[in-house]
Amino acid sequence: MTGIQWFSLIATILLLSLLLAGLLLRRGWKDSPAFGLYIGVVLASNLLVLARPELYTWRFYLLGEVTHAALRLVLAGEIGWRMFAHLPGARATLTAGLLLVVTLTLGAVLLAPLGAQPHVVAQTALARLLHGTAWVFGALLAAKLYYRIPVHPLHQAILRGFVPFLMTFTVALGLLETFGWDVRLPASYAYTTAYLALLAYWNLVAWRPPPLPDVPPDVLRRLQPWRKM
Amino acid sequence: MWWMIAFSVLGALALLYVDGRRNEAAVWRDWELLLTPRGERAYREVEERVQDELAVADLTLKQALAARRLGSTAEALELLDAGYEMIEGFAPDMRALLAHMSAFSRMVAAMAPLPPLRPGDFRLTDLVRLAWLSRALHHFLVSTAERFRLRVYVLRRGFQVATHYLLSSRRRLDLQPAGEAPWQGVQDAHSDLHALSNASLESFRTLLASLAAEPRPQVAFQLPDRWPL
Repeated sequence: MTGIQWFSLIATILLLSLLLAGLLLRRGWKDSPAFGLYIGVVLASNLLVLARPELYTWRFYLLGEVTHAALRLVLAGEIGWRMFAHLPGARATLTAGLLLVVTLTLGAVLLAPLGAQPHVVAQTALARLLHGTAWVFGALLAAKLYYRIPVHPLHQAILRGFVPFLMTFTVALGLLETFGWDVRLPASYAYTTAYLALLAYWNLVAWRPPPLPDVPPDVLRRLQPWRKM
Repeated sequence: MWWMIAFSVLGALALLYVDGRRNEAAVWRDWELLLTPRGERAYREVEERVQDELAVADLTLKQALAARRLGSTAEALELLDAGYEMIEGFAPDMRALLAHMSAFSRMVAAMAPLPPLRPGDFRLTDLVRLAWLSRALHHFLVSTAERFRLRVYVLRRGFQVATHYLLSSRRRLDLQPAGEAPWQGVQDAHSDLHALSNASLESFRTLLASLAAEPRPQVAFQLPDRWPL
């Protein structure tokens, strides 16, 4: 690993640890257990690389990214459920939309040249998976706006954070696929910057106590029954 | 591949922009209005206000026509201006109300069906054409909610057309105060504003009835600022 890669790894671990602490201490994990789990798993995989640098390989990277992508989809499902579980009309439309996006993503991933070198798989199949995941979060964000659903600040931050970050990730991988290793450095810097910015933003939200909306308790109970008052 | 990524990035930017402009507190207020008995009061308030404003506008028109018959054209035009000022404020409020109804109708799963607008209810040629067009489109739409939104859109356009026609008739009266056609135009526009208001109230009532029929919270609506509850 180069010096910048070490710096990026340590900064990531610090921000992830701070975020996990914020979720635990501010009880944010109760509003989204899947997010707590996702952050925990990402932190663990980064700590593994820090403890055993020989794990810094394409294979381990791919395994980690596929696990993270699966957890992101679980997280999207959880946020979708918390936002729309009590709104059957919107839920039905959203479910159909998400099913379409997931099916298209799966199709695109399966059509990628699997069985090739790990870095080729990362550039093609992983890019498609990330692109599809960005669409899932984008669909949730769009549905929230279309149906005028009030959202918990942490869920809002997750949606707002993932959409641009996953797009940046997709663009970075797309650059690698199109222009080859010549653009590895700019692509890597763009990705690292976006990731650190995302973690910093989530930290801000996780450490800030979520304000309770100024509505009667009945209204809050009917729209967000899972939320503690 | 790049066109797909470019499309996704632009879409994500647009989503984030719209999301950034959303006022979360206002969304909660809308839901509060829906989930409390204020909905029924809102309808009564709107109906009363619409009928009152139309009655005053009708009265000034009747007096203007009477003054014209007695040969006092200047007084007739003054009365017409007073009525026009009232409609100038009333029509944007109705358009705002219809816009909100359209937005919140997205949340109503069990929308009660409404018939299309009847061309025979209108006198202005543009409105008659608009009603025929909406009648034709009505049959192409599948869901009741889509038909509701078409109706509300046509009503909004209708208010625009009727007020524009009223203004152009008033301008023509400046050029030929004794002309029969502009006076007839004013009367036709008034009559159509009545028809549009009644159709709007019918839509509003249907939206509220659909809300009441919903087993769970589905929708919120907001009245224009000038109609605070």
